[in-house]
Amino acid sequence: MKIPESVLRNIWIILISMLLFMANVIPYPLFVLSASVILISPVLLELRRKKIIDERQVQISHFSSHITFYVFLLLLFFVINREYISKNINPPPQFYMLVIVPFVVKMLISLYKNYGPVPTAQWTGYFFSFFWLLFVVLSHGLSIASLIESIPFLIIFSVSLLSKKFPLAGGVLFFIITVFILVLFRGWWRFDIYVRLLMYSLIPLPLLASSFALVFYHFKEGKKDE
Amino acid sequence: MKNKIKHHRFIKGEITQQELAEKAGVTRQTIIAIEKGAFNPSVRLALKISKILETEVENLFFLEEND
Repeated sequence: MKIPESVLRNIWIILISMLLFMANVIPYPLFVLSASVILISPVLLELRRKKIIDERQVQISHFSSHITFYVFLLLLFFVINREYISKNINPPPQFYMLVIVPFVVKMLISLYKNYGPVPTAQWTGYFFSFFWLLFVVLSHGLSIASLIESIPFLIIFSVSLLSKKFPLAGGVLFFIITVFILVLFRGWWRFDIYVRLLMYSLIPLPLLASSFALVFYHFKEGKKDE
Repeated sequence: MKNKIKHHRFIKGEITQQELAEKAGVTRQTIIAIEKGAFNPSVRLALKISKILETEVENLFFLEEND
């Protein structure tokens, strides 16, 4: 028997609620494992959705999720304001992470869906290259040191420029740049976990997304040409 | 956008909303919403419905003046 998606969604909400109520009763590893499985399952379901399903149900589901996202942000801002800003205290990093990471994910998905992998990967590259250049110029001004430290700008800019004509090469090079950034900023591992999540989703994640998008685009378009 | 799905359902042997929904692979609520004009189907679904009702899609859906 096929269970309708709306029923599955309700079961999911009941499961989350039950898990939260039982959080202090069940063993901690079981709580973490159950929460991970329950929370990740809808994301995986959305990503593997290939078959055509009721488009109106999808539209309703997306609309409600969209509103829920903004309600969540509203509540988050309410808490941040009440607990920190109104008391003239800087909010802890986890709040910045909670606000910024979902926005980065939403922005990336919107860009890829609206404009396709190649332009989005290129814009991501241009953005990071100019951001790097700005950082270098602001740190050292117009000097020899700036010129040397601008090399990554030239590399990321050139890779972005070439991605249109050579998506596979662009994708591979974006991957190498991501690895290089991870090595260069390995000191981030010493940061608080929330700061790490924030930094990794702001810098290597969009570049890694560009890399995968370009490689997938190359193979998808290659198949079409055959 | 207006439509004549209800009319064509009756022409096609009084097919029910449920039957149409099952054949088109959507829920009955979606067919109700389309018939009421509360939901505009995709080209794919519109073509599917027109195929089930054995008519041209232009006979099922019409643009209104202010569309």
